[in-house]
Formats: sequence, structure tokens, C-alpha cells
Amino acid sequence: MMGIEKRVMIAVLGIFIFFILGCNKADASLGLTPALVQTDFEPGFSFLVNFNVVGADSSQKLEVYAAGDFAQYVQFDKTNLTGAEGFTAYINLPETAEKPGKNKLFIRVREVVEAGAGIGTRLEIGALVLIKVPYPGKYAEIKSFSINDANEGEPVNFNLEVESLGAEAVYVAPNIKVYANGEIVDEVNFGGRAVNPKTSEGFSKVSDKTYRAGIYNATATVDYGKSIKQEAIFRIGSQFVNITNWSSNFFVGKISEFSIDIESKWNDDISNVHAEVEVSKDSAQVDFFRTPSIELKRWETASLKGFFSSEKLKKGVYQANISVIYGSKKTEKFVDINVVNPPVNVKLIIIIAAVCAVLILLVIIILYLLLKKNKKKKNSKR
Amino acid sequence: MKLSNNLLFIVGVTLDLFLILIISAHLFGIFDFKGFLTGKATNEGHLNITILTAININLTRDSINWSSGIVTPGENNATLYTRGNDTGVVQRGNWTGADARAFVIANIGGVNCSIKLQTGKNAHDFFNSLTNSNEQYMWNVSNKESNSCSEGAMLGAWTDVNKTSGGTEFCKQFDNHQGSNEIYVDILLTIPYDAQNFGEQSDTLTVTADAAG
Repeated sequence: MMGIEKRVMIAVLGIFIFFILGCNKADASLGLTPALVQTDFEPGFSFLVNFNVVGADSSQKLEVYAAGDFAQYVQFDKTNLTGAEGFTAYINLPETAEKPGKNKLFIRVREVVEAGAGIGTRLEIGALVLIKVPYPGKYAEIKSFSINDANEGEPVNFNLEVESLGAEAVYVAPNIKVYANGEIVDEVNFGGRAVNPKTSEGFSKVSDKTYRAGIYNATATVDYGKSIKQEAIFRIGSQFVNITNWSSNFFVGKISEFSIDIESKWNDDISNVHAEVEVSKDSAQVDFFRTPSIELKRWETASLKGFFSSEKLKKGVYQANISVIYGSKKTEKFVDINVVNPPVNVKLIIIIAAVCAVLILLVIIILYLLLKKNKKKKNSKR
Repeated sequence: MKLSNNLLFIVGVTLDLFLILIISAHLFGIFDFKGFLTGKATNEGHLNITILTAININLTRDSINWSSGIVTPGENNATLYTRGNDTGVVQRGNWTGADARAFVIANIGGVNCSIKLQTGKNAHDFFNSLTNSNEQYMWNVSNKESNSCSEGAMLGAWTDVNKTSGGTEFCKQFDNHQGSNEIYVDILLTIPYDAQNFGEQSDTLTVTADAAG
């Protein structure tokens, strides 16, 4: 009981409690350059990086500090800045590194913000100094793996780059297996080569196999005592343009756009691609049109657009012969299209009905008023 | 006489061109990179690669303003929250949300970066409720432009703010490309009827952006 009274009292007092949750300036910006610096770890190695603050307000006070891996080995020429000033970070690496791989050291600059009313913000920006510490013993990664798309009968280039990130050199003899529908269709072997620490080696080979058109998966395997793999996909093209989709519903009494979606399966550009469409009913032609020509880039999908006239056609199913023509080649598709009655405009009907209702109501009111007037006249005559 | 006039004309034009060059250099920020250098402090070892680019973060809106207000008498608390670009919402209180909109953080630099948020206070530090209840201080990070922020804490959900050192990482990869480089940070406050901290209340939201490796 006492508790409830106390609560009511506090709630009443709450009338006088106020919070001003407003604040300082309208916008802020802070930047640092360079954003990324990368180096290899060397025992006892010392280097310096000059940084510049960008975008800060000329009167903005800033603090500089280091965070992350090797932060304790960083010294600055100054740690308090004003506006877009520059500063130098001196990094004196230790004789040994605890963590192999990519060590991340952040050189940060933060705004010095005086406490004010409301919720304010403080920006803090960190440039990344990436220090690559060698793994003990042998360690390698596949830095890149790529295969070019080609056409049937053209050569396919396999490119692989192996990076040694360990303290010792690795000896590798990479191998690439090519798959189509889960079956191995080709195998590419590179000669063995040593990759020294902190270096990378590129392996390239042109396949002597003639690939048929299709999509292929390739897996590169690099064995240096431990096996590492990476996958890539490549396409072999044939001079073919596929018809993937088309317009199929049209309205009676209208000229409508007829769209044909196409897809190039060729690894070169194809010029002068156009379509011819013949529409017929019971073997009798009812319309014929041509689309404008386009240039189809390699492996590109595009739409060809023409106009189909169903002005004089009746509702029903018609047969369309779509021919996409490119050079001396042609892709044909025989499809059914529907000519239907245009949909009823419900909105228009509602408006007309509403207008009619209002007119009828007006007529009724006028008639009522006239009858009332006549009745009054008759009464006054009596 | 004619020769000296021509000479004066050429000198004048040259000076004008030089002036235009200096002004252009300042306008386009060419001198921002003046003095940039990396190098060795000793003769040992080597520095492999330096990528010359900048990390730059902009807060196009860096304050939330609710003005002053009170909890409606008889209510346990009042709730105030921002909602992106729309005006803030005030429930059970008489603060004004007309100028209260979410913080907007934009990555205008040349690299992707991570985004961590940290406050100086939690809800109890902020309001000091007598009953230690009815008080909330939350944030909600969401994409202002789609695909701006990825690989971090959950986006689009209200969660309690974090005042511990290091804060909460909301984006591991905050994109720097125009059209996908802006995020909102919405703020929600539930002010208890029995708050012990009266008058002007303040806190600082620290936004830490580190270049993504």
C-alpha cells in the first residue's frame, strides 16, 4: 500500500523530470591515408609510415594510437593533432612473432569530443598495416586460378599462381582436372617447381584437347606435403542463339509489343541479330513482322521487340513461328499464342455507375421538389 | 614598346594559368596527399607493398535531438525512438521527435571498412532508475542503401547498446561504392518515471571504422 502511494508520488513528481536529448554539430567527417600498408615480417625490422588525416574540420582535435597485433611496437612523432595534420608511425618489429599468417595492426585516429548535452558521436578511423608472418615450415596457398572461355576448336588457357607463405620453400607440381556432368574429360599436369618463401610462382598451360560446347568445372590441386584445392568454371561456346522466352498473350483489337528473349552461346560478339515472326491459324497466315537488328555481345542475353497486330483477329489460340536470324544461321521455335478479350475496366464501370446513381438521385430530388411545389400551389388555391 | 607589351601579355597569361592550376589543385584535394611517405627506418629488411588509398567516413547526421520533455504523469515510462529518415516517435511523454532522426554513416573512402559501435553508457548509467526497471537504451543498425553492410552482427533488430571496450562489430565489410555505402543507426530510449538523473543527459556513440584487409 505504502509502495503504491510512493509510486504515485514519484509519478507526479515525474512531471518535473526532464531530459534534454539534443546535441552538437550537424555532420562530421574523418579520413586517413594511406588506408592499407602491407609488408612481410622480418625479425627486428624497422620501418616508418607517414599518415595524413583527411576530411577533418580544421579545429577538430584528434588523438593518435595503435591497436591490434604488434601495437606495442609502434611509436609516433606526435599523438595529438588538430584538423587535417600529418603524423609518422615508427614500427619496430620484434625478433620473433607469435602468430603466423596475416597480422593486423591498426593505426587509429579518433576525435576528441567534449561532453555535451544529448547523444553525440565520436569518429574513429583505422588504417590497416598488414604484416605477413611466415608460417613455420612449409605453407602454401593458391593465389589465383583462372581459365578463359572459348569457342569450340579454340585453345583453352589454364593459369594458376601458388604463393609460399611458410618459412621453408615448397616444391609443387600442380594438377588440374576438368569435369563435365561429373565425368573427368581432361587432365592438365604442370611440371614440378620450387616456390621460395614470400614468393609466388605462376603456372600456365594451353590444353591440346578440343572441347565441345558446354559448361565445364575445373579443380586445381597443389600438393606440397599437404593438399590444397581450388575450383573454377569455364564455358565453351558454339555459334548458337537460344530463344529463352516470348510474349504469349495478346488482346483482341489491338497492336501489341511482341518480345523475344534470346541468349548467345557464342564466345564472340554476333552482329545483325534479328527475328521474323509468322503468326497463323489453321495453316493460314494472319500476321508477319520483323524486329529491328541488334548486336549481341558474347554470352549476352537480350530482347528483340516487334509489333503484332491482332486488330482484326478473333479470340483464340494461334501458332507463331519465331525465327531468330544471325549471319547464315537461324534458330526456330514453333509456339502457341493466345488472343483474348481485353479485361473489363472495373474502375471505369464503378465511376460510370456512381455518376449514374448521382444523376438518378438528382432527378428524384428535383421531381420530389416539383411535386411538393405543385402540392403547395394546389393547397394555396383552395 | 610593342615587344614589352607582348612580353607583359605572355607573363600575365602564364601567371593566370599558374593561379588556375594552384586553385584546381586545392579544389580537387591534390595537396591532401602532400608529404605521404613510407620507408625504412633502418637498412635491414624491406617494405613490400603500399596501397595508396584513403579510408574516409562521413556522418551526414551526427546528432539526435529530442528537445526537453517529461514522462506523462501516471505512466511507468516514456519511449523515444528514431526510425531512419522519418521523424522520431515519442510514446507516453511530451518530447518532440520532429528533429530526431537516425544517425547516417557513409563510407566515402577508397576501401571497404569494418564498423564497430560503442557507447559510453548503458541504460542504467543513463537514467539511474530508482527501481532499476523501465529503462532501455538500444540501437538498431540497418542498411540505408541496400547491400551496404555485410558479415557482422544482426542488422535491423533493436538490441541493448554495448559500452564494453571494442564495442559491437556490425559490418565486417562496409562497402565504399556509391549507392551501397550508407547505413542508419537508430536509437531507442525508454525513460523511467523514477529516473534519478535529472536535467541534461548526454552520451557519446563511438563509431570505429577500420580499413578491411
